[in-house]
Amino acid sequence: MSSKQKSAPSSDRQYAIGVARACGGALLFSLPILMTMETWQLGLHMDRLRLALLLVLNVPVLIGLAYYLGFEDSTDLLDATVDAFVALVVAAVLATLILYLLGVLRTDTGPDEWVGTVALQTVTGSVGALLAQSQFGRPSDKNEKRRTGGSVAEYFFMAAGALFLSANIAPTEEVILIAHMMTPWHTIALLAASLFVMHAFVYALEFRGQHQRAAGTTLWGEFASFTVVGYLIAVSISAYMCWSFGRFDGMSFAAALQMSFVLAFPAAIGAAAARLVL
Amino acid sequence: MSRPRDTPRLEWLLGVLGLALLIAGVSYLAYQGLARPSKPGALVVTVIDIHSVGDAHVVKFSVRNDGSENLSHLHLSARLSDGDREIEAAQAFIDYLPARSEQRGGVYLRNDPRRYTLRIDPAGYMEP
Repeated sequence: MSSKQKSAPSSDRQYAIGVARACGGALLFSLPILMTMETWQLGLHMDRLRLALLLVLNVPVLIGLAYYLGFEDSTDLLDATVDAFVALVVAAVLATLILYLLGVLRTDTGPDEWVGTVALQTVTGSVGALLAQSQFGRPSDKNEKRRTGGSVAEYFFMAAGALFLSANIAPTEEVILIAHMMTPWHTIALLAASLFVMHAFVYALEFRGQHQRAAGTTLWGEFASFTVVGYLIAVSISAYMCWSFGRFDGMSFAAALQMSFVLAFPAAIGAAAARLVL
Repeated sequence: MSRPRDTPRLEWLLGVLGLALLIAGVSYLAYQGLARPSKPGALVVTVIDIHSVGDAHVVKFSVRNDGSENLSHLHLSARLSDGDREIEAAQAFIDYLPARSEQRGGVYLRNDPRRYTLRIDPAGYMEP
């Protein structure tokens, strides 16, 4: 379906519907994190520069997602960039309204808390706004885009999926607690389980969007080039998230690594699922 | 590649708003992170009002953090004294008190605080 048949007068209205749809999506994808206590506290006390960096790094992810999925049937990079910033507005406005509605932010709340809390929620909300488009939006030319995107697109989707799931789980105290409870044997088992589940998700469980092994590649080749690389992406993004939220502060290298592997479990599944559904 | 001219005006409007929000947010955070001198919590406790509830008295207070550090598990102690003699003591905890923010709380006292000297002082906190 092409967007070019839209007539000019109705395009604003069409677009408003697209934005409303993005609001619905952002709401669905960000409510779990909007209603998680640790994210409010992190929003106000996490390192300001790390939060600023997270916001900045989120932008290329949004542009990439908008490019491949799109609010509207965005096709070129400029449209995708505009859509990425629209997703930011949608997420910021929604987070502000919901947090105010829930009494987390009040009129007597200081500006630091307003900015910090909303900024943190905007990261997952904006990704959610764009993801929702791919799940609830009208069919577009995304399949064509996927094919031309090649393996770069596959890696990008895995990174986006890992980012979304790890951003949802990293703020919780449970990641630290689980890392403390696990022995090195647990960690090795979890690593193996992450890789197995990741591979099964994409190649074996017959989900919609299941990938077929390309002709001429072996099971191990596919495993090494996508599953293992995908897992490394998931671990790296998990580590970045933990560092952003100050989870590594004062921790030994071993403890930090342990935490990264714990968070990489959901991140890996997010990465695998993203390859299927996006 | 001829799309940009078809882009709805609303899209441009929201997009520019998004860019402005991002720049404002990142600048604010970066300013806070770089330029803000680290000053430990400077607390100002103000008694708001005193209520009689059953056979107790509730002193509602507000505590404002004028410092630039966020405090967690802030512990406040209230003391009721008559000259040098301590009549009663009570405690209150505030979970989080960010920089330049205010939180409210209350302490329960059995003696009427209006008849004695009341002091509410911060006692300790944790870095979040």
